Amino acid sequence: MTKIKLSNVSKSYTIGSELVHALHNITLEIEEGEFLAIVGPSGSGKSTLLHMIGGLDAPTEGTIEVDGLDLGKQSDRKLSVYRSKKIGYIFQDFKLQSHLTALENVGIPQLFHKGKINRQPKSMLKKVDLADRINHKPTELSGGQRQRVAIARALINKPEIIIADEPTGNLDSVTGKNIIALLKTVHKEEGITLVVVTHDHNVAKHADRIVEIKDGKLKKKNNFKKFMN
Amino acid sequence: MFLLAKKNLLAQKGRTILTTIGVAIGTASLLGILAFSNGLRTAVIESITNKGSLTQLTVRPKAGEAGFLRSFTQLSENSLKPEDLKKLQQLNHVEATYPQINYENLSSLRITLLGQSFQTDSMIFGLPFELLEEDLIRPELANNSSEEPYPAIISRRIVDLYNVTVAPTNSLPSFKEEDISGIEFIVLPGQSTFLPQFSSEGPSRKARVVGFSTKVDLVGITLPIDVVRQLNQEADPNYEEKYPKIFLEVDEETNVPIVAEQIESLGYITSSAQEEIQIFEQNFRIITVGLSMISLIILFVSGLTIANTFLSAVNERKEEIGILRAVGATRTHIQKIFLTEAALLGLIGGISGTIIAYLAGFAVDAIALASFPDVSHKPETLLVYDLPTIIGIIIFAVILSTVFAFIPATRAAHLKPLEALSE
Repeated sequence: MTKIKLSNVSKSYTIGSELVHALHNITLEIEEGEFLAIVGPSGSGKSTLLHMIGGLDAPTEGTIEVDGLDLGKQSDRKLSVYRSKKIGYIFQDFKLQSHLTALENVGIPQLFHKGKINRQPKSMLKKVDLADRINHKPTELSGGQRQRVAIARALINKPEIIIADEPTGNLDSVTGKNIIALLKTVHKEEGITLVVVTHDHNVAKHADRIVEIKDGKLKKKNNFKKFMN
Repeated sequence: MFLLAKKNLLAQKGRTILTTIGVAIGTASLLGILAFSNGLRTAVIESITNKGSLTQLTVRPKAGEAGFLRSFTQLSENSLKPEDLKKLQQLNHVEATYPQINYENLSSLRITLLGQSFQTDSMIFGLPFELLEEDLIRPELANNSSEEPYPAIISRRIVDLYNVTVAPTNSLPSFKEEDISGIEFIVLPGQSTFLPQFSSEGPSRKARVVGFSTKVDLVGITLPIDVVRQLNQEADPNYEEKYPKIFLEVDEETNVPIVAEQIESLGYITSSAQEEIQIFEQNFRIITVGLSMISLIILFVSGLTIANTFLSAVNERKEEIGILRAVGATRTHIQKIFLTEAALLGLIGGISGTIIAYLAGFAVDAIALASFPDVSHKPETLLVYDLPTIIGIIIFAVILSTVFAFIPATRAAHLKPLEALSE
């Protein structure tokens, strides 16, 4: 079943007087529960694509539908509700709030979520193996631990889609592997659709499908073996 | 949301403290000025009501027809007469009348104080002592008012005047009312030290200080009306009673203006504590408004500090705003977070300002009251804080902070999530 459907999506913006085409006519379908890796060189437009799926940015042309909801037609408020209910964000640089503890960082999305959620920040931290770090601030945690906190934060509202932008980009290879293992576990256990933007082939190889974006265009739609070949 | 706002404020301790100090200073100055106004108002009203209760009214003949000089020179031809008193007694809502008469000749007193005997001219006034019951310090000495020594009441202000001006400049001890009560002195009707050529010989009388009042006239002693009436009759067998003023007791406070209007329509002039309070309140309101405006300007400047603080906070916290938007915060949520922070600043600033105003109040009271002369009805405090004003000012500080943070909060709320995240 198609979870996310991109139809002829283009994105352009101006820098000074120059018009920049970030994405050209992208058409892509992502299945429910799929683990999709988006790869490509820096500046190719993959993060732009990710942000548009997350409702943080809107296409200049084309449509993005998530569960039939056309994101381009939604108000700012409805997009916020969409992010709150359906999306869990994971960033390369974790984007934790330095003055809050791990527990408080994980609990933030719940402040904005309407409706009852049975998940507790404490149990989410336990799930990512940080039960003993709940009262630590981000500066008191290692890079891997910070990303685990970010994953717990992304999961707290029981999202249907996890969007991860270079989740291992700031981590050493061992920690990166652990984070990917964690993401895979969560993806399997919860049946979450996982969309990951990465440079790292070690991350991409775990994906069900890999798409490559180059110069704003969708180049390949392959699994890892085909992609490597 | 509240806890997040609190955490955000604590994360920027320096800025939070400085902004809070700004609000606290504004609040303290506003509260201080209002407390001072309140204190001054209370003291003045107390002083006015001491002269006469709120149900009392004083009636005099038309201005210029009587008064101090005319009474003194026995020319008070147009004083109020017994028929005027009757008219007043017949008015609706008038419960009692207390006419004042003067001894209509020269008179002097001989008194021994601090071991020294001296004689001075003095007027003698006569009033029904029922009017002065509350002012009697030694009521037991006033029971038999027709026998010597006659009970005498002295103006409280003359004692204050002596204590504030005469005593310090002549290195004399000051007196408390208790020191003087019970003292006997000689009344010399018909005799004058200033105008001996007009003096007439007559028997001296004994009198004794039994109380102090703000109702009685300043430049003399007040004896029971029957005593003064008798002295006048002794001096002039054809004496006809006349009154420089008559005090009236009205049944209810609300009826005082009605009775006053009736009396004035009869051609007399009236004065009352109520009227004095009304005039004072009118004048005082202008002063209070003026002073409050100054404090409001201070608070307004504090508000600008808040606006400035939050504007720079929005710039510095763009990424935080972006993260919150990414995890589901709406514009309203972002606005609420900033406004809650501002309200908290206002609340802390308001409470701190109240504490500062209170502490400063103690200091001001201690310094100012110590330098005040020891007069009767000296206020216990110059600053009167009342709970509704305090609560009102704290609420005002919260609202002001919130209002001034509104534009920065709205600006924060309208940041594009992706642009904010990219900071």
